[in-house]
Amino acid sequence: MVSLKQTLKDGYSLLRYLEHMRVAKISLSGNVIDLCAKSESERYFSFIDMSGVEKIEFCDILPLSENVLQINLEKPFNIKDNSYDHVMYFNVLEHIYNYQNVILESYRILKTDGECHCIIPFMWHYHGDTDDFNRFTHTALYRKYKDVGFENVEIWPIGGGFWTLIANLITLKITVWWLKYAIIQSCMFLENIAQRIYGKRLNFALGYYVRAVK
Amino acid sequence: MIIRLFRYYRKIKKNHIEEKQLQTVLDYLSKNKQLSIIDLGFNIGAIYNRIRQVNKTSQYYGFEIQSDLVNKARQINDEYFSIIHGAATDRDGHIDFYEPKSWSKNYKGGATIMGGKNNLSETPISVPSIDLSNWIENHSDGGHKYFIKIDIEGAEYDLLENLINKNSLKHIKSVAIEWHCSKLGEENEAKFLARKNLIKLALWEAGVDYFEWF
Repeated sequence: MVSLKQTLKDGYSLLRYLEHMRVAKISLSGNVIDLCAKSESERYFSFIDMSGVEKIEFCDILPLSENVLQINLEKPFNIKDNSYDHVMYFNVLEHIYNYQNVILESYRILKTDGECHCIIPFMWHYHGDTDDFNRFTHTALYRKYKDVGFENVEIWPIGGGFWTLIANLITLKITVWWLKYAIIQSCMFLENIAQRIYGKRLNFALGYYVRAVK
Repeated sequence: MIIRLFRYYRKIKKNHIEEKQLQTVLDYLSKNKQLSIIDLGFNIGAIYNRIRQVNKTSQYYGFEIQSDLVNKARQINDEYFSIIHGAATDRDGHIDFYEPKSWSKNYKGGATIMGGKNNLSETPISVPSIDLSNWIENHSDGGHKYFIKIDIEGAEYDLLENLINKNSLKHIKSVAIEWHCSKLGEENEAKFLARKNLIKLALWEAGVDYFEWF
C-alpha cells in the first residue's frame, strides 16, 4: 500500500509517491530484467505485483553477484534477442546520453508481446547522477518507442496538474515531512477545484510512465 | 456555486469561440463555391443548414452512421445534396459502431466506430464502411476539389492517415477537423496527439487549407 505520509517521512518527494502509485498497477511475469537496479532492495519492488515472475535479473557496470549482468546502457547490451517478458527501467533514461540505445536494445531483448516499462521525469530539476541529459514530452516518447518497432505504446502522465507541480516544487525546499504533507494536501485541494472547473488537464506532468508492447 | 459560475462562464466562452470558428469556415466557403463539400458526421444537418445559407449550389455529400438520422436527411429537398449511410474510414466493407451511453447536447451526437472512446455502450451496431480515399477517387472526375468537415469522434486519425498514404490529398482543397486526442483514454493521449501533429504537418506540406473544428 503506497502511503503519502510514509513516503514523505522516508524523505522521498511527491513525484516519488506518484510514481509508486503508478508502479503499484504494474504486474510482472516470466523472465524480467531491471536495467536500473542492482537488486530487489529498490523500494518500488514492494509495490509491484511480482507473483508471476519466474526469474529476475539486474544490471550494473561492475556486477558483484550472479543475477546482476554487466551492462553499459550507453552501448549495445551483451544479451541475446527475445530473452525477456518484461524489461523495466525507472528514472534512468534521463541519465543516458545515448538514450536511443536503451529503447532500441530493450526492444531487441524483449520476446514478442513482451512489455517494456519506463518511468522518466519531465517537470523535474537537473539532477546529475552521474549526469542528466533528457526530458521528453509524452508525444516525443510515443514516437521514440514507435519508431523502434513497439506495437502498442501507452503513456500515463505522473501528476500533471498545475497545483501538483506547485506542490512538488515547494516541498522540494522543505525538510519537515508534516509541513510537506500539509502543503501537498492544500495543493491537491486546489487541484481538485481546478479540475472541476477546467476538466482534467495534464500539461504539467512531473513525469511519464511508458508501457510499450513488442 | 463559484465552481458552477466558472463552468458557466467557460461554457459561454467556448460557445463564442466555436461560433467564431464556424464563421471563419462559412466565410471561406462563401468565397470558394466551386468546392464540393463532404460532411463526415452529418447528424441532423445543423452545419449543412448554416453552410447552405452562404453557399447554395456546391455539391454536398453527408456521411452518417445512424440510420434514423439518414432517413431524416433523405427528406431534405436539395438537388445538390446526397446523404450516404455509412462510416467514412480507411477500408471498404462493414464496421461496428457504438452509441454513447447518453446523448450529448448535439442531437444523437457521439456515436463512433472507436470502441475505446469514453462512455460508450457495449452493443456494436454494424454499418457499411466506406474507404473515403477510394470514394474520392471515384467521385473526382473533372478534377474538382473538396472541402471536408470531419467530426467523427476519434476515427479521424486512421481516416486521414489513409488519405495521406494513398495520395488523396491532391483532391482536397481544405479540411475542418475536430480532434479527439483526450477522449480515447488518458494513456492514449500521447499517441493521438503525436498522430494529429504528423497529420497536420502532412496537410500543410500538401497545401491543404486547415481549420480547427469543434
